[in-house]
Amino acid sequence: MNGPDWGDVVATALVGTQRRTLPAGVGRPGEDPAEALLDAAGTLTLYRRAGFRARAGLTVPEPAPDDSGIPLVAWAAAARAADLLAVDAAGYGTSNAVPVRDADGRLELLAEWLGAVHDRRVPGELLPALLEIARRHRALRPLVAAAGGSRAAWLARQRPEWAFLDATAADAHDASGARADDAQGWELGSIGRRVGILTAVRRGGPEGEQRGRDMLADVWPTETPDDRAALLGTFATGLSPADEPVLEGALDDRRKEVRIVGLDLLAMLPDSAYARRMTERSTACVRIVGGRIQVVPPSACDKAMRRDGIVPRPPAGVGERAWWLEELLTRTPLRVWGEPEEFLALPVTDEWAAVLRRGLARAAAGQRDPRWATALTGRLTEEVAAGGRPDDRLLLEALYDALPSDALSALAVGVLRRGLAGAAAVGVEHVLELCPRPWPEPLAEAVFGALDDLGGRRSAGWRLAGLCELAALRLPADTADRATRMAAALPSDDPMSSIVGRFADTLRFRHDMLAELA
Amino acid sequence: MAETTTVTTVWTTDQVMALAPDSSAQRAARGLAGDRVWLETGLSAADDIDPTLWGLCQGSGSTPYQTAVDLTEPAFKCTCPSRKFPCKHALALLLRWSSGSVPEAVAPSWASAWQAARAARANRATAGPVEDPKPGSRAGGRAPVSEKAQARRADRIAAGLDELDRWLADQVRAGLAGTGKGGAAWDTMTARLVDAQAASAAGILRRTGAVLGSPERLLGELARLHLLVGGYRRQEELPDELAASVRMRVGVPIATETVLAGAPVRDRWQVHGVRDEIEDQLTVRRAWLRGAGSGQPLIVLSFAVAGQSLPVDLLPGTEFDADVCLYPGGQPARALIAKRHAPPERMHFVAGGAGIEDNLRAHALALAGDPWLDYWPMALDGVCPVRDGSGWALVDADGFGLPLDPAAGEPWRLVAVTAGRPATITGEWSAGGLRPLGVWADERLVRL
Repeated sequence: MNGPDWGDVVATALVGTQRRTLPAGVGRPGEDPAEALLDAAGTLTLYRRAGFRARAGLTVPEPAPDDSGIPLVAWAAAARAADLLAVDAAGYGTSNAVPVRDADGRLELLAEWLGAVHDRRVPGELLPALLEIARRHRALRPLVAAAGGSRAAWLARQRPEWAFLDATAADAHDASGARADDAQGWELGSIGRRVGILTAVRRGGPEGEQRGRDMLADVWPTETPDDRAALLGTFATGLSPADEPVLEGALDDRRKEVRIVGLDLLAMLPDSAYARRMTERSTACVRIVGGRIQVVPPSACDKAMRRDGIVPRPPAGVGERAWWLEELLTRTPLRVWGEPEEFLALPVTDEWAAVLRRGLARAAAGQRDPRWATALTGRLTEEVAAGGRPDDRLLLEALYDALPSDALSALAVGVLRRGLAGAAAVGVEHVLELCPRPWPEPLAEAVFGALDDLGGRRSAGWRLAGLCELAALRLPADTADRATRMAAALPSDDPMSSIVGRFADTLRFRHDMLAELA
Repeated sequence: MAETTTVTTVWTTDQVMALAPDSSAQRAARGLAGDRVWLETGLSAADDIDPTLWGLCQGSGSTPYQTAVDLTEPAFKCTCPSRKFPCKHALALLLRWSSGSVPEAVAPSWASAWQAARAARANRATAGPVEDPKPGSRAGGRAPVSEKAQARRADRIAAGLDELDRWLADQVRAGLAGTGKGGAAWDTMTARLVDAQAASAAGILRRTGAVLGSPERLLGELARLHLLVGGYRRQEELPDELAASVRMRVGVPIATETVLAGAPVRDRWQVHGVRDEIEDQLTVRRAWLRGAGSGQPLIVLSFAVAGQSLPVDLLPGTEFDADVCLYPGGQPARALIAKRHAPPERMHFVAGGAGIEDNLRAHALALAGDPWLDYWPMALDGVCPVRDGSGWALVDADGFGLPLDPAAGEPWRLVAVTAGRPATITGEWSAGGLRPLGVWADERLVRL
């Protein structure tokens, strides 16, 4: 079109026709310049809109690997996942299709959904939301990587924020040892990928362990502190006395993160110089004399103790010497004290009994020693149930972490039989939290028994709510019918009715969800 | 799962929830969707009446509530005293249906009586003068006005537009560089147009406020308004269709019955996308339809003020056999759904799909008939999203690209669905670029 230039028209309009003459080709003599400019601009705008041309020369993208041969999950299953993924900016669920309100519960349902996908394809439109949720919740990453398949991996490579998936997938891949010789990944990969590679190398028996040490020694001086800590952490795989010099070296690192990784790994080596140092210190403080335990806590926290990870400043309300003793015991190999039952049966000076028990319990939890944890749990449960201090309950909960799963279930069944009030006092919810899911049959029975027991007892409402919330997510989904009957049996004006109703609805939701994915 | 064979279950739980008037009704419905309160439920699909969902719900009273939903419209009935519409019982019943737990069963007498009464009303409506037909079409439903009143209104509009034209010229005379700062004067002009009953022109001016940062867009919009004023003054000289477009864009109202009196157009109408926009406390829903047989694009508008819910009878990815009536003027034509012949079903293909070039050509033709169109529906075949500089574009096999509207955000869902392969994508084209609304994948239209 041979007409006025659009750029001139816009420039004139910006400055105003009273200050600038009209561009060439606009207006006729005698016409109001402002009207003439608007007319020209109208014509040009339409001309430009109607004449819009596609831009040539764009690059057609590289497609994702073809996954059309893999069957899709059922539509109902995909719609349910979309409901689970619908969250607002604060991560709070927005879809009323999901009976669970809190974010943690939704994540748990989503994890269950992802775990049931198996060898099917998740529709593409769900993947961005899945990647976003995996970005924020590390625990979901392997599940998202597995369920998302090759398309999720392709998608994650398009956006830097989703690069974690590559590392997650590499980890999963390296579990088979296939990528241990990925020299390029080791040189240039993300830290997640390099951790995966080093872990794979360490899996290769004594030879691999040596190679891992060499690889780390080569790069050690040039790594950032965070990367040093992450890479050193891989020594948990195939940890052996041969790693001790490296770990001892890490204790002198400038950065605390690295020192902590070194300490934790050294504490896992029972014959290390570190373990010997801690044993020496502890046995100097705690001695068996004439069938009694005599306790003389340390009188100072010297530089060597601090290097070995003893925190010199006690928390508020704890004496310095008691704290140092507790710290020493926590880091001393438990086998120093012999058989747990025998040692714990010995009488102790009253003054130090609590400190000793606390130190041993922290050691049992930290060293994941099931025998000591079991022995200490039994004793502490009795004391806490009889009205112990609140921090004893926290300690008890730390011990639960070290119990093997069958012991946990048995423990939970035991405390639930005493009724919900007593069970709550010893932190039954924490035990239940740790029990393997879905809960085994005897535990499911005990939970329903406890719920039946509570029917109509209003005072127990808040306990019922907590138990119902957890049980709704952890009971086997095929108990949905039983829960529905239980809910139906409550009169609708019963204050428990809505709690038990939601419990039943959640189990029904899971039941339907798993049926869709079966 | 129970079988719901006659009607394709096209509603997801979330779509059901979108019907709820507010979030407390959603929560209440969620609580009622379990097995506890429903004594009996069923889906009846006899030949002579529309598919009807019915149930008996035990409320707080001694007699259970009778709840029924006609899935075609949808329409609701419940004997509960709630003033919310639809009530929690109707929503809960739909939830149960969408989760597949409503079996097929013959409707009890109270449910068939309701349907019979509705059918009788509908017959009266078609025979005699039309009442406001249904909630879905309350948009544009206006009572007929006398000739005198019409003349008064025309004068008022003309005066408002004259004032607008002087104001536009003033802006250009003084320079647009200053216009961006004059927020109050802007609002005054908009309010003046509302008073003058030139509601649509007021809407254009209000929306223009959003592009103050871009002198090109700003000048373009002001110039189009100027063109609109000129068109309104000369409407007698314009071709009928263009004159009708002018009146529509100015905001001259058209009575619903005038539209429904026009010749109906029957087709299988596919819903290619739905988009909501909030304009001055009013939510405007644009539903883009396309005839499966004719390929004709249509727009169905609905409006809701704060707190009101919008109808969800047009679900993207579905198609329905219906008669529609068209408003005069405007591109694409605005439609009212006059009569549905069957409940919606899932789409099996995307009608009217074409390449980038053909879609742009259709847009250019539409602009010739309605220079004030802001949005144009596109159905693009064989394209996929790709990064283009700081933005995104849809690219075809030959490397031609159509920019995506940056205001729509990064198109990750679209990227994930297409996976780098060409697909058919539906969307709205505007001066900002294309906003994708749907993509065809795995034999269905994925809503974006």
